[in-house]
Amino acid sequence: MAAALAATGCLSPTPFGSDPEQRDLNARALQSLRRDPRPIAAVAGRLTFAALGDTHGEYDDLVEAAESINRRQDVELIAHMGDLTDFGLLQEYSWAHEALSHLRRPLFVTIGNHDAISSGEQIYLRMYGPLDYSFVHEGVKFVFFNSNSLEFPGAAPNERWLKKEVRPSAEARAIVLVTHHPPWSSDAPRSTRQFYSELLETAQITAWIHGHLSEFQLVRYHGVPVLQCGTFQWWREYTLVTLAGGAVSFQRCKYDACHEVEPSFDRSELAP
Amino acid sequence: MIPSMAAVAMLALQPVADDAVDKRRDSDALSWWAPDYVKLQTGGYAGLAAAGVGYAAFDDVLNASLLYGYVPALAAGRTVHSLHFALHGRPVELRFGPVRWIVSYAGIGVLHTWGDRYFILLPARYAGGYYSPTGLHLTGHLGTEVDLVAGGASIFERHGLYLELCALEFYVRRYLRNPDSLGLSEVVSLAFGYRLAF
Repeated sequence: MAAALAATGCLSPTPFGSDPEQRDLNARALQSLRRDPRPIAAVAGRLTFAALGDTHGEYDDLVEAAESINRRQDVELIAHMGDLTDFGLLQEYSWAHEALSHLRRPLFVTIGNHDAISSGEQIYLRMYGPLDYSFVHEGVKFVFFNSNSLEFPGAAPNERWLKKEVRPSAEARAIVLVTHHPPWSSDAPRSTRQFYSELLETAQITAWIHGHLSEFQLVRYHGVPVLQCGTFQWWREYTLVTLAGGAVSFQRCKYDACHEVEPSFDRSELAP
Repeated sequence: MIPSMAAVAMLALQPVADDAVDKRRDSDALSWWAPDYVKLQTGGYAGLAAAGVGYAAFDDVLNASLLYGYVPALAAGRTVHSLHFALHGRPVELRFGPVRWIVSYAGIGVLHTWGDRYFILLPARYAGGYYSPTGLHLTGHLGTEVDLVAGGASIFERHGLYLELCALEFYVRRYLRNPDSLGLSEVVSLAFGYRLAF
């Protein structure tokens, strides 16, 4: 009995709970971003961040990727494209947080479709905060939004909020959209895809960064670079995104091995 | 219901002499169709408080039980209702007079919960295979149980206390993929329970 008690540490009554130990992690990351000094290699007018997504249950490799990102001297923040979990279970959220807590720079997370099932939405709201949020850092406006149309029918994306967030402002010289799905997602209804197209055509969006689909892909869509990070679960990759002036560049990294990538084709020319 | 069951169980506790002990494990004293035992449990992913019934077959070597589990919102952030169906094999026992020790038993089960965004069958808006069922998870169990055989004219055969480790199959797969990040203690839950056989 003693061995069993020592092995478990507690009586877990259910895997279906929704009361995370950590709270408001995105807001805390923003506090940290504003409080802490910039990375050693950061340059005025230039901002580099790391993007990865769909990490699911690969915690050992995620820790290794976090340590690789930590070795970079220029990464200001990390954007996670969602799907921290498979089943939206509290224990999965907790394990993902534990692995991601190895990151030394602030981490911002958007909700993926897998994170929203079971009690995942409630857990995300408590653990990370609002499903849609934005902030400006070094002249770049980051707009994280919930694109999970199937899990939030009629409520995601919040088109009104999104339109307001991408309006030109004096404080932001660039706008980066961070979400789980691509703007052409087959999970979204046609009206939503049309809304995304209009948004990209009319607003001054610098880049759209997303996860969800397994392959790495960097394309142009309505003139805007769209980065599909590639599922970390399959490829163990992250992408470094650098904004300097009005330009954006990308480096695809498998742990410490990085190489420059360019948009491969214009996806707008394909069927809608 | 739970306090009254416990009270009945306490009243029925009567130590008996060794020669009065029925060597059979399960006598089906009530009838063949009546459940052979009731269980009360806490932990083991089945609920903060769980209660249910079960049937014993092959002279109590094989048990099949169904527990309803409840966790209040105060303990889990949301109110959780669940059903846990389990099959246990209990082939090995030792007897010390009226005390019977099932040294170890093992089994598998299915844990089911329901509610918003929990499903067994994929909702129609999703393509086939988009998600695995969120309302069903496989479980594995390893436990030990000590019984006191009731004597006299009691309808109760035995009062048992058990200790059980329950693992969620999905968690175990995560543990096997991430040996550096996850500990064994994170993928199992300990259960304490009382089993009243009749």
